[in-house]
Amino acid sequence: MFKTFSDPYLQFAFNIGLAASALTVVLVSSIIYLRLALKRSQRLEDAVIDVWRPILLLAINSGVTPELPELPASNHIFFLKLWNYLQESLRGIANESLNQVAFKLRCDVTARNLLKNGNRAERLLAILTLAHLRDRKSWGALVLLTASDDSLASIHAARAIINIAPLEGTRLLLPMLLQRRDWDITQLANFLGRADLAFWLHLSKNILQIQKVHWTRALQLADALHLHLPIPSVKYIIKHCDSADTLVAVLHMDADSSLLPMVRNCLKHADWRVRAEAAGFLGRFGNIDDGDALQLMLEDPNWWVRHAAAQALARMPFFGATGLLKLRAHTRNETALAMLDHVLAEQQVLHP
Amino acid sequence: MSGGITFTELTTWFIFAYFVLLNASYLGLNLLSILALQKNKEEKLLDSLPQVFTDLEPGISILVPAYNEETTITASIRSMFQLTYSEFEIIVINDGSKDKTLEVLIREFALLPFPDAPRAGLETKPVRGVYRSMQYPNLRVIDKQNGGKADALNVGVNAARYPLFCGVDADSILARDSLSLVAKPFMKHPDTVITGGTVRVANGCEVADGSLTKVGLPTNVWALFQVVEYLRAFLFGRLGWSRLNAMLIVSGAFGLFKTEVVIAAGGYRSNTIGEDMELVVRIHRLLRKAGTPYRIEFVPKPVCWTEVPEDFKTLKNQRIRWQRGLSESLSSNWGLMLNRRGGPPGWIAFPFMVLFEWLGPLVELAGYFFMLFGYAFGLISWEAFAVFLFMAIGLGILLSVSALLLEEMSFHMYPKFRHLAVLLLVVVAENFGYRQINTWWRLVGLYRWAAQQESAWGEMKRKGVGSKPK
Repeated sequence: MFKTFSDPYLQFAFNIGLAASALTVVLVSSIIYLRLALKRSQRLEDAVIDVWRPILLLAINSGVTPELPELPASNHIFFLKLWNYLQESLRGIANESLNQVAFKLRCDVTARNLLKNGNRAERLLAILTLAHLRDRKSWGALVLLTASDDSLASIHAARAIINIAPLEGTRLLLPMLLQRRDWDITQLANFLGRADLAFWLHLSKNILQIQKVHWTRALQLADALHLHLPIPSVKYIIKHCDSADTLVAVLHMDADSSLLPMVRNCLKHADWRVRAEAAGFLGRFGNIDDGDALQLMLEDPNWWVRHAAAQALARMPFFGATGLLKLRAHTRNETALAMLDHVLAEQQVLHP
Repeated sequence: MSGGITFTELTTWFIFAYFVLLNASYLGLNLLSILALQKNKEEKLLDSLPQVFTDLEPGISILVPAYNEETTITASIRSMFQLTYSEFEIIVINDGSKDKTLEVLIREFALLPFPDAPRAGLETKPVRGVYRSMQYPNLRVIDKQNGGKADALNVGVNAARYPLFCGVDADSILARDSLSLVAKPFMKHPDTVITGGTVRVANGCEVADGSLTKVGLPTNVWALFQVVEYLRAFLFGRLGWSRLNAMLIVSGAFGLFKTEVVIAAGGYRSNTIGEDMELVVRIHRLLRKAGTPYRIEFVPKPVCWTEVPEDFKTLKNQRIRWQRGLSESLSSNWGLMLNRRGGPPGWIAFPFMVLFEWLGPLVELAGYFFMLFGYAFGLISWEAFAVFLFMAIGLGILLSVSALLLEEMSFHMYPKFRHLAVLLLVVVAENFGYRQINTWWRLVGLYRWAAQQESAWGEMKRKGVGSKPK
């Protein structure tokens, strides 16, 4: 065995070594090729930025579209990247100025072509562009895209739809906004910020028709957008929800004191997060009688509930830090005492 | 060839097969990584856009265990205040440092004692005091009795006030957007419990005010070898496993964890060296056992830069500790191995780790010795010996080059052609001695694990990465 090079086992091993060497050469060549291609592409992109950045900034600052040089097809992608970056960095009238430049350069046509024929990266760029341009002609294609499995493409298509027609878009997409768990909720909150009234209108109208499992997400979005849902709906949710997550979300929202009787029922909830949120709610909307309940909560077995109760007491206008000090003087329970000291010290750090 | 198969033939064939299987598995991971990086590349445009925060990002507690860090701790903490994220706090845990770490922190950050209400949680060594900064409301320092890194992290987990926590080494340099990058999977997939970020070698880079300003390569040869090792470990090791939701290692230098999941799992084990890996494997095992859906995801974009050892002794000790850590993590979570509910972690990643990472050094070195011995005693021809080396080294180079290809396909952090040329040289050179020495150190680690020697904080000789490379 293995005495001569003609041995089949040896030949097999040798072939593996040879294949590895050949593949190594191929990979090294690819690395060098990729580096050269990258350098070339960077040079082209830098050249596009050098020409177009001052023009776009001038358009933003003056509000008037200046004379535009020709934009060769080979530079479309680089230009759109720059243009989208500026769009995302700015707000208000600047977006309109950038749109005027884009329309003059027929970027809407380019973006529609990219959406139809581009690779995934180009399609994503096209969706972003069409969203900023509020391109009605792409409505159908974008609606189709919202149903795609591609989380990123679909959420950005949803954004485009809502940008194009906030009222119609949120009505059409409301179920998806709440159901698609792969859509990043922070991104949704971000772009719904520009269509918050439309979202509020449809959510308020439909919240009770939405399946219970989606209530939490709906409430979180409403809370992030600082929207006030109709109090009867909120009461209905508190009464009928069977998830602690939903209760946490609803208690975290801005509401009013009419919910107090229902919130007080949550003070003994089995889930500590609900108890903590309920304490926080009492701190915001509670009355003088709720002080007693909060003082009892200073002995809750959960640290966060005790903390929320002490903070709520500190927040109550008729209690505050002075009230906490008085309470501390006649508190005997060690756990409650420790928490009072903790929150008093926190108040000092935050409001020295 | 005549008669039946002899012992020599069988052993030689086993060694060949082992090397081929080992490298084929790594190449398989490599292919998975290529797919993941391709997707990542397509989304690069979106990542480069300005980030706007809402109130919905989960808050993050950054836990910084510190032991004798008086020279680096101030810059590290100051750089963490530059991180861009909506809500985070920094908790430094002084693990009974013998130097002036605590005094430096008190002086630099205007710390005052804080009457922190004690909370029941993970069991730890006693806490001596809690301090809060009057300048930075989101900075707390906990002074505790020495108990090791894992114990320090457990104290931090107990004190954390946010749903996510991130364990960071005191000497790590974080990218400004690191928190938002590693937190993203938690927002996209609510069942995410851990994310790990890519760690790169900071030696040779330029650092100002605790932030990385220019990427470069180290001039020290040991550090250079580690640059390639880190590329291999992160770009196709973890990224490949992440695609299968079977990542068993999240670097202790930078990982983001769901606080409640870690507490439910019992926190970090303080009697282990590889506390980061052990925790991740345990969480896999417990969540699989409970049938809870979960995700452990890897973020390939470089988010953390760390100083690596530049001298033989420190490097050797580090590798020995790593292998011991691996051994402890696997042996204490053996229940995951081929478990009925184990899924990809139990059926693919765990057996892979056992076969190639845990027992690998034993088989690899045995292979080298057997071939040398066989050749010396005429059991194996020189052709067989040469072909064995040709195959083993050829496959090793192929793997390292493929890691470099992944880097070039995705992040190209090393911008100059000179960097590329040096790295190409290193991926070849490391196969002639360095990897074999590493295998030996890992074998020593395996032995020390078997001998159950005491664990302690790893000592690291720091040159400091703030200075310009010579």
